[in-house]
Amino acid sequence: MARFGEEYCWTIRDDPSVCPYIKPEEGHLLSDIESRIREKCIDCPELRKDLKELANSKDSVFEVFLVLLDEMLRREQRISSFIKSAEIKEEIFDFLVKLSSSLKPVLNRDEILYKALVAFTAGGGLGFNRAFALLAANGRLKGYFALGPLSPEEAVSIWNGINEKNLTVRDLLKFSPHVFYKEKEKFKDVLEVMDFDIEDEPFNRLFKTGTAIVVGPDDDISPVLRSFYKDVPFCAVPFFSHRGRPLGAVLLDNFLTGREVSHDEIKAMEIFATEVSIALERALTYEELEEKIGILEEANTRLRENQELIMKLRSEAVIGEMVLQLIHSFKNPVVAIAGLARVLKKKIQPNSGLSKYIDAILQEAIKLENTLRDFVCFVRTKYISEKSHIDVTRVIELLCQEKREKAKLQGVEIRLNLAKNLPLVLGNHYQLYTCIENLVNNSIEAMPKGGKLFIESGVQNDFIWISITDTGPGIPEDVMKNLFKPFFTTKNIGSGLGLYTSKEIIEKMGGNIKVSCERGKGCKVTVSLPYVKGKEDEENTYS
Amino acid sequence: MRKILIVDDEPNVRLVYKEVLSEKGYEVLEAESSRETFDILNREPIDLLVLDIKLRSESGLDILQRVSKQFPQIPVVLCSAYISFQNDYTSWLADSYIVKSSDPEDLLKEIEKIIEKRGKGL
Repeated sequence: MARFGEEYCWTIRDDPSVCPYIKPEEGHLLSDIESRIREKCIDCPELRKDLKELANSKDSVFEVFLVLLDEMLRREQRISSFIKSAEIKEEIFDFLVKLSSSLKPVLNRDEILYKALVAFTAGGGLGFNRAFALLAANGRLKGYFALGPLSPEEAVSIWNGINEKNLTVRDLLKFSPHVFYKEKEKFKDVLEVMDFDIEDEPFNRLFKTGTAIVVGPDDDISPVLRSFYKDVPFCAVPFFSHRGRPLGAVLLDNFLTGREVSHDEIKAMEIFATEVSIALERALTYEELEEKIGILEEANTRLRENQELIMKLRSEAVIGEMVLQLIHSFKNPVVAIAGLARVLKKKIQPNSGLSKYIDAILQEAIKLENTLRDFVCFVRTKYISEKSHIDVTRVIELLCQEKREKAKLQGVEIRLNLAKNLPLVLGNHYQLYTCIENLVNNSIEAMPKGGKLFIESGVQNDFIWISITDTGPGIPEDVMKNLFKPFFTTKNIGSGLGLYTSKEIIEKMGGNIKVSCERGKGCKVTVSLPYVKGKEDEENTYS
Repeated sequence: MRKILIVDDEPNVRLVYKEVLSEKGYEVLEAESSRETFDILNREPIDLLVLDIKLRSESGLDILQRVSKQFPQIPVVLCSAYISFQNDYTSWLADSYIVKSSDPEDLLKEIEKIIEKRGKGL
């Protein structure tokens, strides 16, 4: 009862029994009626009841007081909600500024995603309970990192930890690889099952609208996500490249507190996501660039190595040829001198005084002849038939490097599909190079109007195989029969020894060579060579 | 008398062969180019050809190819300055192969072997 006789509680001074809301430490309110009305009565249901009664029994002006009271309370509520919203916005804005400046120098994707999820989950940020980052690649969206507690107990301990240590936003945004990997490991199982097609819901909707979305318990989504979230609502925020390519997404929820997300927060999430997208794209581009630079550097090194090798092979072959040429030009005179000395020796009398001179000429010429023979032998083993362990893949790559431009001029495109880690074969490197060069040349020449040349390789049983396939017109049957015969040629310029020599080389290496042909569809030459067992791991002897 | 044609562009080498072969009772003709070779082959019957694999301006192998087409009945002994074609070419076009040497024994032996074989075949 707020009425005490003729008086109301809000008019009685210095009597603690009239108001149960005045606390002992608020004694001044007993005498200061004005303050009491401001602080206590304004929210007291008794005052409203009294005003109603007074309006009915005394004067309808009390009704006006009641209306004013209601209106005042309504305005107060609105103002306080504006203040709250403004405070939240200020806090988020402040966080955004810090996130933005902290992301600026970062090129590491782990660090960026760590900071992003801190921003989405930290109390000073968006304050979600839990966040998952997914990255897009090749039409898939895969779980990459997550941050948050697994249970209410862990949540309490995390939040207490932050409070106890009095961590600032700046502290929280500091990247810690240790925490990153700990969190990643903690969510390993969940992250592993988070593997979606980019068109699965809700991602399809997410990337189509390009805005943050709220997913409720009734929305139709991927079964994996549904079984994970059950009926907990969650938000999804997209990351885009500057050209609108999906880079990834973040999934956010309040599975512990059940707090609803406001419209302002959704807008803030999008702004956060934009910041993160920019950083992420920069990092991914940087990674891609680094990878490409690596590939280029490797290609460059190989190119240089190959060029050196080509030069070496060339010069060795040239030396070999030159020496043999030289020997040939010595050989004929020696044969003539020694031969004629023999003839002369037969024609003179055995006891002639001249015979000792003829013998001397003969002896010296024979010595020269023997020296030449030995030298040829040396040159041949050194430059012509030295055997080594050959990496066929490298021979082919080397060859293609040489041929590609020339082939292109003829409209022939060379395509390689070579087996990795092909075992080595034993043979003469220059000869094998020449042999495959012959086969490739023939195939290119078989396509005067252009086409495609496929060079493939593989391993079967104890052999490696190399196939050279063209898209030329094929080989007529009568030509096919004579293909590997010496001096057989269909070309205007050609010794007819190319294919024959190739076959000889391959057979000397213990391999074989086969040609299969389909009229109008081209030819396939397959070379099989026995590989060197147990040498796969050894370094090539020629390199 | 068996007629042997020597094709070599070195006159002194031809001189050696001519001496050695004449002494054994063969009639020896000489040519130093492919033109001269075919002039003789077209003019008169030859029993055997001794052919240098490497002539100054042309390849003995070209001559070999033409001879085996136009005169398949004439046996050929291929000569070269060093061992290189022995395994590769003798089995199909030339009947025999020798490495040039001041010692005529090898050449004489090969010629006798071929002529004997042909003689039996006839």
